[in-house]
Amino acid sequence: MRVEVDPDGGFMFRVPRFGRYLVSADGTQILCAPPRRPPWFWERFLLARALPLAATLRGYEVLHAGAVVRDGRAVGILGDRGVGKTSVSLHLVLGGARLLTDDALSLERRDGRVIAHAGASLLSVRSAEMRLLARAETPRLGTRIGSGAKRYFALEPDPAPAPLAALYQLVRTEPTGAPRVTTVPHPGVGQLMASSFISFVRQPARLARQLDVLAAISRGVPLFQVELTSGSTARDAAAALAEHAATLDAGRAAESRG
Amino acid sequence: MSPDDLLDSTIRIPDHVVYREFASETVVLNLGTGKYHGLNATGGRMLDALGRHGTGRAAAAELATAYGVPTDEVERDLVELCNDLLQRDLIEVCRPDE
Repeated sequence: MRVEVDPDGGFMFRVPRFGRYLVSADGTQILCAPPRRPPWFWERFLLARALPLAATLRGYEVLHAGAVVRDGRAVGILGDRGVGKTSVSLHLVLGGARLLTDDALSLERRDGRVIAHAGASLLSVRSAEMRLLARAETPRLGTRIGSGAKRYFALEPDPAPAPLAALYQLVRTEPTGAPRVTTVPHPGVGQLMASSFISFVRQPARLARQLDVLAAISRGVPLFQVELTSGSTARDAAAALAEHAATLDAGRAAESRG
Repeated sequence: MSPDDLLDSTIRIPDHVVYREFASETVVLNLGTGKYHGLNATGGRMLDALGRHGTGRAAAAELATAYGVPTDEVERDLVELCNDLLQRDLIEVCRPDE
């Protein structure tokens, strides 16, 4: 992939097999020259790269993360590529959460809180994960819009922004046993910036805003680590995360009553 | 510049420098260079006091009260911090005779 930057003209992506995309300098327009492939094929690039860039240019800070909404609050899921963020999101959705985004989480600071905005309501699920689903679960994934190395589903959109209540970082570890959720005390700027998207946009206003949002997360959004132990599944990890998040919610509710 | 001159100078955080408090550090960003600098909790509080008061003496007085330590001790630490910040182009100093 090549990105050509023109301060006035915008950002041109040239991506083999996926086409060309021009994002305007202010992020309000995207011009596409897609390949002769079905829309679901090249729209993946649009959603994974071009739209996050546009969101960044329009004033949002975008993390490479998935997110679901539970009881009106957003829970973000971080992790290295391939660690299982989508699979964990999938099982959280099957457990009753609403999908906010699969891969690019747009955030802003508003009224002293960090607000998470909806991304595309699409899930790209690995074939191996599909095989682990019960027959009754597959229809709940929404409409299948394509398949290749993964299966692509369009879910019921949940466009309402939600306050970011917690971040969970998925990490693969060696020990066996059930996945463990541990608190990450004092997340620093390096740790949070590692999940930041669109590192090539370095205008002062963007860098200042990024620092603002990441500081707000560091001070006000708890970060937890979900240790994906050897032999545990995404379903196990989602169950551990959901249980932990429910305990967190119960604690907050008790605090506000007290 | 002598420590006394530094403490009596007007100290300004320039527009190209922004800083934010994180859970365990204060991160200072030089927007001109794109470089990030980290200060521990005490350093962050010192920078904040400098930004609000505009002189080292006034900042030191506030910090000495807040931490319950002798003013001259705070002034020494503040001078050290200011010299460090000056080297990194994170503050501007206007000498008292200028």
